Amino acid sequence: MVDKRKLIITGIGKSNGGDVHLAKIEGVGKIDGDVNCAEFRVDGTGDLQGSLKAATAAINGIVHIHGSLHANTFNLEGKMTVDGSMISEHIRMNGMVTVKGSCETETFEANGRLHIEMLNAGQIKLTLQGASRIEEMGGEDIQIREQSSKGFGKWLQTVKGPFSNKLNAGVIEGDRIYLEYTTADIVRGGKVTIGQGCTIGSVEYKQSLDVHSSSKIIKQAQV
Amino acid sequence: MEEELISKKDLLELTGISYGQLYRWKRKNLLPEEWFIRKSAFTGQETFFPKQKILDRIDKIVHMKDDLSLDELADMFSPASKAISIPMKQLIERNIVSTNAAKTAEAYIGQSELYTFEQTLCVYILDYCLQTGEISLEEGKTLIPTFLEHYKKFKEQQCDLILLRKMGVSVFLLLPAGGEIHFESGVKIILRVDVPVMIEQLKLKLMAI
Repeated sequence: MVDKRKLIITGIGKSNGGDVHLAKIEGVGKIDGDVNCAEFRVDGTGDLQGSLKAATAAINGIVHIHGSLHANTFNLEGKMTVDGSMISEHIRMNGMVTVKGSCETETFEANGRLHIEMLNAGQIKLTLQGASRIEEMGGEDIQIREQSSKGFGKWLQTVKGPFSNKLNAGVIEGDRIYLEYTTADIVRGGKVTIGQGCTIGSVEYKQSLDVHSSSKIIKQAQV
Repeated sequence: MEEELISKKDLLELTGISYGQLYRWKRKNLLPEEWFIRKSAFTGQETFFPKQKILDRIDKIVHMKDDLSLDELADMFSPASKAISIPMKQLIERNIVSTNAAKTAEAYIGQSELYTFEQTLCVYILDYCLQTGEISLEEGKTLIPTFLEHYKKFKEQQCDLILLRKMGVSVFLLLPAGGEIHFESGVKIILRVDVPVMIEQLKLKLMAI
């Protein structure tokens, strides 16, 4: 990107977006169009009415992207909603994320509460904190683990309810799958390990299937 | 057009690829989104594919992935035009288009030394149509301006080129890929060219330098 212009909002501000080198919001910012940039940073709250294309994007705070999101590397600490789809190479997220379209990336590492329509990634490492919902998930390595609660969270865990850490999924497909505290309709894969606290409607596996004694599988078949 | 479908499970069994590979290829845009047809089955949601298309594509990927990177493959399968220009002489020498087709096209495209990808594609399709023996050289002459003028309007969308004939009068038209058309009686579809397939073939030939 030859363009050296910058789009910086400090305090409370508004912009129309455009092609820039650096786009940065510190405070509360609203951008009314698409943003095309090398680096995108938000510390605070951002509202992007269009789509975002960036080489790297780092978000600390709350962001709503009304269009779609393309970023080679993506880091999030906080809360994000993407109305369109999200395409990346490396994603790291910590917080609450909603992606209404599909999410495609090579590596996906997330900690928190996710709502994603379709997640397609080479490596998926998801640590559950709160109730997540992923309609369809596919990839090579899929690992879903539960974050053991600490402090106040632990006290809340004594009552199993909407605060418990769990994943609700439609279909999970992958070469190597490890699941904990997951409720899914269908799991299909090569090597499948079902850890604690899972309820799976149907498992189809190729090489192996290991199931923890506390988990329930209604139907299983080796194909 | 009713196409035969294949379920994801059967596809993987038939081709011997894994879920991971399928998802990876989709991520790399080797398999177009339109081919993923979601249907509800008695086991819940199932994904189906147009059988012939996906089998052809997977066969190509499996055979070519040793020589080309996935990105190069994606580039080849993508309907997007490549930003290249090629001397027409080279195209004839390398047997990509026939001299006949090139001569015919010259009158419309002009005698420029270098052809853009789109122009090359046009000549390539003309050549293909002539080879089938279904169209006359005269008809070929109307194909070129039609294609050059309207193909751009489809942008990234895929399209088919169709030749109709009724009582000796021929008509060329371009329409979105796979679209259904119906006519009054007496109209015959002489030729239906799948443009994305042509692009794929052409890219493959251009690559083999």
